[in-house]
Amino acid sequence: MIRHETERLWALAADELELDDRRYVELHLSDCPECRDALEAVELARRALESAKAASPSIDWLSTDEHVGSLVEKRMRVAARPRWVPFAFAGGLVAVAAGVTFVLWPSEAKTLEAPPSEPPLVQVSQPRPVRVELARGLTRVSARSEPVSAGETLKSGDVLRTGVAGKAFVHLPDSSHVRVAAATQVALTRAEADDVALTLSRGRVSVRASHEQRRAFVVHAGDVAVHVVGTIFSVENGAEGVEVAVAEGEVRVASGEGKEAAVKGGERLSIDPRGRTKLGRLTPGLERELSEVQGVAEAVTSAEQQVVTVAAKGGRAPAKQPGGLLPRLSTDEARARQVTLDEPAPVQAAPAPATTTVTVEPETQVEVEPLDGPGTAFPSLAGGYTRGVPYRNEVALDAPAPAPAAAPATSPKPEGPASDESEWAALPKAQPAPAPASAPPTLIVPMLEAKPAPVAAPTPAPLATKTSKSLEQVFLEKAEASLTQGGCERYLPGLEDIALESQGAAQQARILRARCFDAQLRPKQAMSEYAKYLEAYPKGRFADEARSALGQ
Amino acid sequence: MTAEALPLPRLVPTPPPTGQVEARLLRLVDRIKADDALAFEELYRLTRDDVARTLFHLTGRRNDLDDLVQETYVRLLRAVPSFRGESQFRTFLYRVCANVALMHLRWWRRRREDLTDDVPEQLSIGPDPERAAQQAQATRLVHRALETLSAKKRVVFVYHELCGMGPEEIAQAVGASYNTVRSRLHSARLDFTNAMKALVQDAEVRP
Repeated sequence: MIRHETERLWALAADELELDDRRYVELHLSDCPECRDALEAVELARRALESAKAASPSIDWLSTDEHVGSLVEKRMRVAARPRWVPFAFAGGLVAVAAGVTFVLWPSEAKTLEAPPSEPPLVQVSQPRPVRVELARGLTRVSARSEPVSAGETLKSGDVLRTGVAGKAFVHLPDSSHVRVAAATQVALTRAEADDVALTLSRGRVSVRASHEQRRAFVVHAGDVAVHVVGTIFSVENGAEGVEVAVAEGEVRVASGEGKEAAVKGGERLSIDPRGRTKLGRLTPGLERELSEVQGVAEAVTSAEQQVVTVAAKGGRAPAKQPGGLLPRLSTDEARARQVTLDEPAPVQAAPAPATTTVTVEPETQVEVEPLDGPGTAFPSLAGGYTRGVPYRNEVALDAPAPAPAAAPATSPKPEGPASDESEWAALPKAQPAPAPASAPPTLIVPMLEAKPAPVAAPTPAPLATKTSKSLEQVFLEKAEASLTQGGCERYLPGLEDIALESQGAAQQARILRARCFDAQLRPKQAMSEYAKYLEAYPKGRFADEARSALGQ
Repeated sequence: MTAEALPLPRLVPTPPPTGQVEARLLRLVDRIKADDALAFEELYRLTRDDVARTLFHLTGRRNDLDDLVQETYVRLLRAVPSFRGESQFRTFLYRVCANVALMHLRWWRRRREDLTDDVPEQLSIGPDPERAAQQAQATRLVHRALETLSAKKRVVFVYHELCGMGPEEIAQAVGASYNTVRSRLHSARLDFTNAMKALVQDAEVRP
């Protein structure tokens, strides 16, 4: 068959010929058996094409939406950053350091305490609000949609929406965790400590429900209600119906027609708009997402246990906040959270009347020193990442037996921005006595404790290093342990955040991501991570490992 | 039948702009140029299915279609500021898809991997399993036949035969002249027909 024959036969089959041409070709075909065979081949090819045209690929859109969203968000963030930012940042650091030094001078310290008009920091009877742990592209839907950022509190009745670039972790008053996926709209219909109801309009939420006693925990999606006792599950409300996936425990799914079904761990129940149900297994994507929620919960639990242990050893109760199990600091407070009880000079104690904190137990003032930089970052309890400085007071309380005197003047003092290890090695060792007027710059943060804390002797740095860990370090250790124990994928998002934003632990986070992908037999992603590592740290601690993995 | 005996076939012209949809996309582009992330979100929602289907046919990829879709939108975001409205936005989008697909086709062909073994697994199973199975089989055959085409011919052929684009629009999307597109298309049709015939005969010999 010569080329022109196929062209014209294809044109005939595709109805691309004018009427006269068509008649001419058809006339020719009636006298040419070879051309009829050729036309048959063309028609066969076209039929296959027609069939293939209707085929649509199966794509995990939730995951793709999320990835595209985060990539776009990063790109827009980078694009929005002018080139002078690094210089401005360096200049800003100097200015902030000078400003903080000025602000934290003893005579000014009192002004940083909570003004009398602010609500009490600790109030046992106050209801716990919904706390946003991580917010990316999150808005509160109302007459005027307003963006929500991490650390904000929400209340019953609020409607949350995430964009395609969005993702959020929300800590509910009953200590449950909710991960709001991209392109989701969910209403906090009831968000009380003993009664939770979420209404999912679209998208997906993944929930790690706590085991606290409560009246109900229900997720409504269309006319489907998912009743929970204590489990890890997700609910998706999309065009193809509602899907309930359970990683652990069991949920009871009630449809609008009065039917009920139980979904157990590892199962996925789909309910189409006609009410037909289909039971399947968890998909890997869902497993990863639910693992992430579990990872967040474990990180929180780990941090809580650390505080509790500290309290037991130090004879203190962990600080309680209305927002949740861990102490939360306001923005101003968060700017200066480094406890410096190992300072040579004692603290400037705040006069009782100046402190507006209402406590049910005696209160202790803990001295803190200026943070080492406004950009210090640490992993949030939501498994994400938060700007600021990590908590130090709770680990600081893990000091040995109290000493009667203040710390000696020869105690080592951390200078300037230090690595994570050195920073945390310098954690407070003692509760200082009231300071003289000549005390160094301090900021007063009220701490709740059972009794006035004695002043402890300074602890050697190595021991302090061993016992004092930031949440970031805890996270990295757990991630590293998961490489051998399994389940490292739940740490991947948090590691990415650390790798992108941390000052001291970015290298480790990047290499851990690579190792995790390696362990999961995902070579493409592992190679990509190793390559990113080498690009960022060509002479880094793990450069040899990365080069070896890349075959260089 | 000879070339002189019959007139040259006429290719299907570019369909007219889709009016409201195109206008909506252009409004979104203006907003994206003003760094409106939500506009890009909406653009993504409007076009992602089309992009995924196009990339699927362009590359026949099985495992990393998600990655290709992501890469396409990252490139699109980067390229949108350069879009001056000289063509339809759809054409502009297909140009980005073509670039992503060409890069991956060349890369994978260097790897000499068989790309089409698992094509049916890539398909979304509809309500009719029998029809889905036939569709999967047809798609597998088509993608295997497409593998015999060069990357450039494949792009032109897929855009015309599977995406319904006219030659002028394809010319804009691939950055080639009308005659080049027409030549590639005719050549691709011949290659594709021969490949399909061979595949069917092979299937009949080895059922």
